[in-house]
Amino acid sequence: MTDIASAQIGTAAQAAEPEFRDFVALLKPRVMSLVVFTALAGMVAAPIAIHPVVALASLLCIAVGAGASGALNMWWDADIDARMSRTRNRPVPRGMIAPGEALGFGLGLSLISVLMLSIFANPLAAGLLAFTIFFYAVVYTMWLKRSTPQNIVIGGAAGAFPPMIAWAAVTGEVSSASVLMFLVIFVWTPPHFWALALFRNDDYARVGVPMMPVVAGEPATRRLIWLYTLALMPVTIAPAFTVAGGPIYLAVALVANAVFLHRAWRVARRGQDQAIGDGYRAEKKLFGVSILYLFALFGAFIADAVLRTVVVGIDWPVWF
Amino acid sequence: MRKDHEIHRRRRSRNLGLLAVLLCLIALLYFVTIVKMGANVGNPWG
Repeated sequence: MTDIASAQIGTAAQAAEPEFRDFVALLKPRVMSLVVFTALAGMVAAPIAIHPVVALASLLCIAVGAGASGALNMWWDADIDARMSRTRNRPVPRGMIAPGEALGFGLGLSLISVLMLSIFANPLAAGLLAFTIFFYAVVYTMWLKRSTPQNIVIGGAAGAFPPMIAWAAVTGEVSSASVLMFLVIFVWTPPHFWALALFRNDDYARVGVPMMPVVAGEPATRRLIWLYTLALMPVTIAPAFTVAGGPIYLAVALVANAVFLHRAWRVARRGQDQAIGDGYRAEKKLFGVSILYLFALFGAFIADAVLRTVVVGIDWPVWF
Repeated sequence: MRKDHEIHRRRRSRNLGLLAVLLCLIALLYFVTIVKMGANVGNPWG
């Protein structure tokens, strides 16, 4: 954050009195809902069962850790958030919470969530959570976001860790199934964010964040969305043949991939003029579908886990 | 009677929210402790 922007935001925040909901907003609750859901899937799909109270406590730690990294992101990015229409109503740029408060809140919750997870679950899960917070706050937010168009490609790892952390909290290890769950979110992130970046291009260009459409242009971004969507196909089919997968996951993955491919193709084959003409309808649709896509895949992991509990002795191939 | 200022309302919302969070945390720590102690609960030599 620049010194001038920091001083302006700090002055505005001195006069304000934040409400409880401002601190909740600092945790990025919508991102948190995706984190909680994917972590829940990782936890339920794991081949070992833990006590529901310990599971709930661990899930809470993962959610709070994710929220803490969101607060640190909002502290660092307050200067650009204030100039983007999507983010200008966040608590720090709005002057409701002082930057220092957001920093303290984020650091405090990071520490508490990691320590508590090490007590509730195990040191491996806590270590993975600590690394995730560090990766999102430092590697992505402070370093990659403003320096390279590959920001969300590499930074996407931070959002991909929650199911792996949850799996580690239950089993105490990292397995091929949890690595594939990680890869599903990791490869999904670029087409998801680039669809958003296409119709928010002006925002990112104005604040100088080198998102792919700003740096490489719209046609190149559309091609990359298509290529990443193709790469996503095998990555999302493979988990079906792990201990976490099953027939429901395979069926859902096949249908969801067909829908995603169709939407990505519509975005890939058209040009900027057509997109401007209909207000980036196809890009907005792809963005919306991509969120449902991830919920469907991780919902299918949960459904297969329930199926394994209800129907004992399902003969399903495990290749990975 | 004095009417509450907007600042007081905001402060109360924050304090009540924090109270709820702390109570939930106490309940969580209590139940996790009971679960972790497992079968030895209530037996100091267990």
